Amino acid sequence: MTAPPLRRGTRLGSGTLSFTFDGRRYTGQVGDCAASALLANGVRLMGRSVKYRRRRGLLGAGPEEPNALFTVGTQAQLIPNVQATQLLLREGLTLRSQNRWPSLQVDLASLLQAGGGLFGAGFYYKTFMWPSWRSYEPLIRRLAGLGDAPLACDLPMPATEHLDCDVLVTGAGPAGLAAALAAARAGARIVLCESEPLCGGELEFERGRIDGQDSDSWLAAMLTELDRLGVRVLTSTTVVADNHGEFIAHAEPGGLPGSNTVYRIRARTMIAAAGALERPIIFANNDLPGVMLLGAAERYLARYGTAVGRDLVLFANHDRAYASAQRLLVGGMRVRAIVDARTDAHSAVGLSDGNALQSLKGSLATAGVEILSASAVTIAEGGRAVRAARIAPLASGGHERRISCDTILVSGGWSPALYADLHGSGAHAYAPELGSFVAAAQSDWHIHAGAANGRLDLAAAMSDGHAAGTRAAAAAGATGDSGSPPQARGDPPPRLAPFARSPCPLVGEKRQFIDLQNDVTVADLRIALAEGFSDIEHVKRYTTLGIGTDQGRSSAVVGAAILAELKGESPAIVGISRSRPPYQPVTMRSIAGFHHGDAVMITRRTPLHDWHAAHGGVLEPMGLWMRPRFYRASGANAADAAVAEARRVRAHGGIADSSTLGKLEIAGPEAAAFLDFMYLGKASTIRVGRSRYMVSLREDGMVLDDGLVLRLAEDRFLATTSSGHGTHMLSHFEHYQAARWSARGATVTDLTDAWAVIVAAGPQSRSTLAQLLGAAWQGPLAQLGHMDFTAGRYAGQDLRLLRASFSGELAFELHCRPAIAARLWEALNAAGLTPYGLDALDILRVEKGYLVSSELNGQTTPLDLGMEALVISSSACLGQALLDRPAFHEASRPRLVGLRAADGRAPFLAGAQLTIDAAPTRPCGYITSSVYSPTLGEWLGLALLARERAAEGATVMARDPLRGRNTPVRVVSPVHFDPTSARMKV
Amino acid sequence: MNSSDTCHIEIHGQDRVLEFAAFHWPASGFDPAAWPVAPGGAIRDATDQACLLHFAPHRWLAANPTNEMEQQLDSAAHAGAGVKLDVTGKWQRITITGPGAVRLLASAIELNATLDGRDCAAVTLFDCPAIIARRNGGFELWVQSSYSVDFLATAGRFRAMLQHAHE
Repeated sequence: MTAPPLRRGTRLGSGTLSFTFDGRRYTGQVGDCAASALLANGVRLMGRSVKYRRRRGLLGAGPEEPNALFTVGTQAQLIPNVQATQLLLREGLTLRSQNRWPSLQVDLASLLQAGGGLFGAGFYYKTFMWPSWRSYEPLIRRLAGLGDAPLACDLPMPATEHLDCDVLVTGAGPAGLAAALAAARAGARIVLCESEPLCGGELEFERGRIDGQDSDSWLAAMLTELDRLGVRVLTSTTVVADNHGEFIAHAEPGGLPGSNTVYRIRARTMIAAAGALERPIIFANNDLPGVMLLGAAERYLARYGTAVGRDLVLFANHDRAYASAQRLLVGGMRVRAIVDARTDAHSAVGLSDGNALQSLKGSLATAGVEILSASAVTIAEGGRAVRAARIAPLASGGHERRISCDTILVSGGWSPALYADLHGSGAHAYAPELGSFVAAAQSDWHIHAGAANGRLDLAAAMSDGHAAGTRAAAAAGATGDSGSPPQARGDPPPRLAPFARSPCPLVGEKRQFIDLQNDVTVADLRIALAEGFSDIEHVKRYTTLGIGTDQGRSSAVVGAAILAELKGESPAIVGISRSRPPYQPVTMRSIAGFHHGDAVMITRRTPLHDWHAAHGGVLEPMGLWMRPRFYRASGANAADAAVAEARRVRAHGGIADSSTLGKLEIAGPEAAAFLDFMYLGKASTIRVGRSRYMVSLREDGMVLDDGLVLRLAEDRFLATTSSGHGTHMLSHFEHYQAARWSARGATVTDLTDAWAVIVAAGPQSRSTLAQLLGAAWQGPLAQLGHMDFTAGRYAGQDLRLLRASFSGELAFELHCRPAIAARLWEALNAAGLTPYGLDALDILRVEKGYLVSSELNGQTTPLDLGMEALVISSSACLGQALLDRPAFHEASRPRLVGLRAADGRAPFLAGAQLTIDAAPTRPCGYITSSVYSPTLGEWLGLALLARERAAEGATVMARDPLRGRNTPVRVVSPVHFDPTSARMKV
Repeated sequence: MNSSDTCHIEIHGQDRVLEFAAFHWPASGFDPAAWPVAPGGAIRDATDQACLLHFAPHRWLAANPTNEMEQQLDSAAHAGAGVKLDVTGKWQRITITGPGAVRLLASAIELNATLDGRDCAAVTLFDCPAIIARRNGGFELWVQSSYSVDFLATAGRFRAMLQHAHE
């Protein structure tokens, strides 16, 4: 390992911190990131690649880092795949390397790299097929993946904050700051997000002068003015997704969730000023620890005071490498050589500051730096880390050189950060002067600025930022004066010549690594092309190029350039693959937000919820509602309890909480006409005080929902909906009220929570209610016909009594205000009507052939469900016209039927497929509901069966391969019990 | 704990609540002086509590209405402008007050944008349908009753987390 030659302290703080890496204790300085602290401790091996488990060190110093991914923390606060470059050191931090066994130094799976020639792109798809994928899956799953997912999660809930602004600026580098200032001066409301802990971006390294001041002074004054103008500056905050105008930004101070905040930002315009990412040049063995990006070395030096090595070879294709070399020399490192892929002529002749460059080259030469133009590093030599660089002239006839070094710093230019634009399928164009892509067409609501827009020199970047800020402010309606653009002077433009990879014999391309995280090599791209995958998106998926946690930051552009070279096309034609949010890894906990644990889904509770919970009700979700499935006191298990409850209802009576039914009041002079349009059948013919079972259709003729419609007055109706469809039906009604009935005399109001509903069902229900409700209700109870209702008062509150049944028994619905629901329920219970749950209700309704969501599944028409009478009675309701489609009348359409076991005993379950006989032929239907009927002493079912097979008396086979059952069943009427409904009409 | 982050969540008893839904707008039967005509407008009582809220287009909420207000709604209904509905029990009134109220609710919505130029709005707070109105020192909420338990639990979690973050 190379001992660090200097350690000057970090820019961000002072003091010492201790931490562990793979169980070994180290110390770092306050302000260090995990990567810089390890570098300062002489640690260069920080990870293993996913596929070949090759040794990997740091490549970058920021979010582009593909190699140094650590698992951080312990037990339930374990977080895998944290980039060491983004993780701020803190006292006691526990870091663990990934993808190795038994240790990072000695990894047995690294033997796979011996088969590197075999394991090229597509190897898995072609190889693990015999005898079956299952044979290999356990081993491959153990080897695959990035780190271990924690088995429990105890991470704290992230804070959430919603923000609204005119202009969101992502990136507080020179361009972003100029943009924010211009827009804020013009009067726009600004949010400025910076992923680093401090603002300034490249000003940290590039010492320029702005508006006559040094960059530090200008930056301090700038931040003061932004504060004065009310700009919300969010540091350590990265915009990770653009959801069509709502931007998601994650603030993770220290790069680790804990006190993190998720910002949801609605912005009229977004200025992408996230800079540009340095990209590598590809050569053989370019994945050895010690091969790094040149800009990363500068960052480790400038920010952390850490030298990345002692003896450096720089390999680049632009002028900036010379200024960087000078800074590294000043930092105490020895630069052995600068390998420039360009010719001398390209880099200096005809340029305005060519003299300055020549002067810099002279000074470097004096310091002992060898400058090799028109040359390339072809191979990095070394076993565990870089020991030397082999260099060859690009023109034929030259001699290969070998220069000893411990670090090779590469820079192939900069690629504008286009993540959000690429995700949104924004148009991009190839810029040859950058060797990369820029956003092509920029709308007023999505503007790129600075390096993200291809402006790589300070003056141009700031001018571009100012223009973007001015434009965005104007688009947001801010009309103030945005001032004049900052006058800046910094490093000259890099003037690069695109150069993606060094020359290499075919066999060596297996060691030319493009994507370091996924071990994608130049050879893999060749294989993909040979297999016919030529589109950049297909190549990405076939080879896994750019699909890792780094989202191809270091590999996407260079991969596209090499693909273009292999195809013999221009990169402009090849294009670049899309990125996907989140653009930066985030924890699942952050995505979940407050939807975690008990709060994973918001739930709705009836006014009787607490009673159910306190009296053994087993509650289960139905839509958002929690409803009692059964009561523990009724039986030893769910099945026994349901049977006992159903038996009690038929024999005596029971009560059920149906408060979850949706209740929509439709009121106004045109309410009846509106409902005639919304429902099959005519609401306008319902008399006041009566109710009717009605069905609503979707636009395509499929049944949407069913329920009762009560006519409260000439111009008022109450439509009840099924519990699970309540909110859907509300929005369905509201949509048509707004779209088709706007400004007409009909309103829709949701009264679901305004009324609790208690069902009292069974032969004793009437007498129990008469006893309980008092004298005023005796008459109505005696006189109410089936489907009639009446209203009155109980305990000083409104009460509506509806005689309707979903059990086949004499039954009443009591619609009461929530305030008295518990009192009424307890009184009914005390009077001898015990509660029954959903399972018992299922038994009762299947016995009677009543429908629920299994039959109203969005794929059935009223004709399928035997509702011809309703169709005939309706005139022109929504969806009715499409019922005439010939396909709805074919013999293969399903028909609702009843089923019983052919032998009268065998059980059969919902979900079983129905076939003509025992052979596994094409199903002709399936069972939608099945129950054991305590009343009839056998299993009963409802099914959707092809009409041509639906004749009563026919026998079909219920095939249930998942449960290993084949049961012959007999087709019967769906109404299994009391077909004349004598029991409920008493 | 930073005092600027504290807030108080209070649940109130079930008052009588009415909604008024207009067929079309503008309409006869409305006295512009007595009605919050513009969506988002509200009329307040002497205690600064919003008592008639134009919380959604063509839709008003009358919280604990006085006889006078109810007569006003009846008059509008009789004039054919719309319908009055008794929705008692539908909404649970909750107040959130204190210096941390804005930050707590910013966990769910962007308050400044939502209430920009308005007194009230129909919103979704922590996945729960609600009506929000400004009041002195905080906010008044009407959360749909069946959601109110989960709303309080979630708001409580955010409040604890925000306060913990500043301890």
